[in-house]
Amino acid sequence: MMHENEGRLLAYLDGALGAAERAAVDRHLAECRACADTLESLRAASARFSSAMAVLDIPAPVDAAAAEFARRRREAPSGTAQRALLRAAILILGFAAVGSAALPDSPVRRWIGSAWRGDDRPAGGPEILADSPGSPEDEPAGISILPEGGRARVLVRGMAAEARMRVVLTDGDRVAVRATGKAADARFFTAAGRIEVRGGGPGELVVEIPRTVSNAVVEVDGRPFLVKEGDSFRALVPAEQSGTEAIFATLDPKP
Amino acid sequence: MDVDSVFRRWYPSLFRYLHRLTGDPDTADDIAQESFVRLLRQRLPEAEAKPWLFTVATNLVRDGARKATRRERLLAIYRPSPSSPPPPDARVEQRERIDAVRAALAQLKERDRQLLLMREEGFTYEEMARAIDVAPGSVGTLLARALRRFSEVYRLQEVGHDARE
Repeated sequence: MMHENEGRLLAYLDGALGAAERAAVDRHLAECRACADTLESLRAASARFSSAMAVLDIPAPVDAAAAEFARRRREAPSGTAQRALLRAAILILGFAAVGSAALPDSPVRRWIGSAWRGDDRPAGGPEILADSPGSPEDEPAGISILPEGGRARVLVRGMAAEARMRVVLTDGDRVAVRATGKAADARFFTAAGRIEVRGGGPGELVVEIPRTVSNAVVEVDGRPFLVKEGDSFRALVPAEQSGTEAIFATLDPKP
Repeated sequence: MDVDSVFRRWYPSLFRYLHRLTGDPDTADDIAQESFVRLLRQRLPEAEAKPWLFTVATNLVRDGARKATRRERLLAIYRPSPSSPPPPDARVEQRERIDAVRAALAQLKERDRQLLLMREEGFTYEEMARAIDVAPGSVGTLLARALRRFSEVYRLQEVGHDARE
């Protein structure tokens, strides 16, 4: 008696045979113990493989991936050159602020240190955005989300060249981004653990990060710009030629 | 073709396939994203989207396109965070099981690995044959050999693990 080969038996097991072939294998299996055993051993090997693969699996990040896919779909058509210029502008602005934060006795450094210690509004430092809005045209647009698992990311993309950005430490439990002036036209998008800001005209963006967030990242156009890890800030700023260099600024511990 | 519906339908399967193939969730997500973005430029019937996506994604893995796609990546939004992490002993054991499975997979030929993982995602023999450019009639044989090979090397991995204990 000719035995069935394993490939055909596996195709039988997988339902990949046509009706006539399947009937032929059925007839053979009814008479051939060896092939029936082979079929069972293939079934076991198949189950073992499936169960081994399941060990590797993690949940797919469907919602976050769908949001990212939607973003890439929207951005696909054009605007690359313009965005590149805007990116350069915002990186230079950001560099000035964060770079000065790393210098001893700089106003920005004093401001960050004071904010870390919990002062409401350090003298000479940048103004912390008030909760109550001023005149309608100055009314801040904003959006906030809870930091997730001690982590938060704030993303800024394609801001106008005239826009300014500030990073503020707070005692709250929410990461918030507020925009004033024409920056209030910016569009805000949120997803688990992140806020994204895009568009907008001249004005100011204020990023509020609670001190309780152990890990926070502010990204500008996809590049890390400022990282908060525990009690320290790390600013990643453009080097003179290319790439990035890191400036470390450890903040005063909370009293 | 309703791309959003295709995305919702096939992203989980493609992510799982890529994660099993590469072992890295960020890479799996990056390459899945890139594959769907490339799908936007295609005019395909919806029924052909799945095999097309998996073939493109497999080629991206093979070509090491990860670096290029990572530049497009906004951020790592997602990290699995089980509400109650397993105790340390269980974690070690789980890690060892994962390592054993990965080591066994790594010992398969690339084509065998691709075939077995596509089969797990419900591909027909015809689709698998087109993906690896072989005759449909040979897919069963290739799969059976790959399954046997995996069982053999995985058993050795498990024996080695038991011996170390």
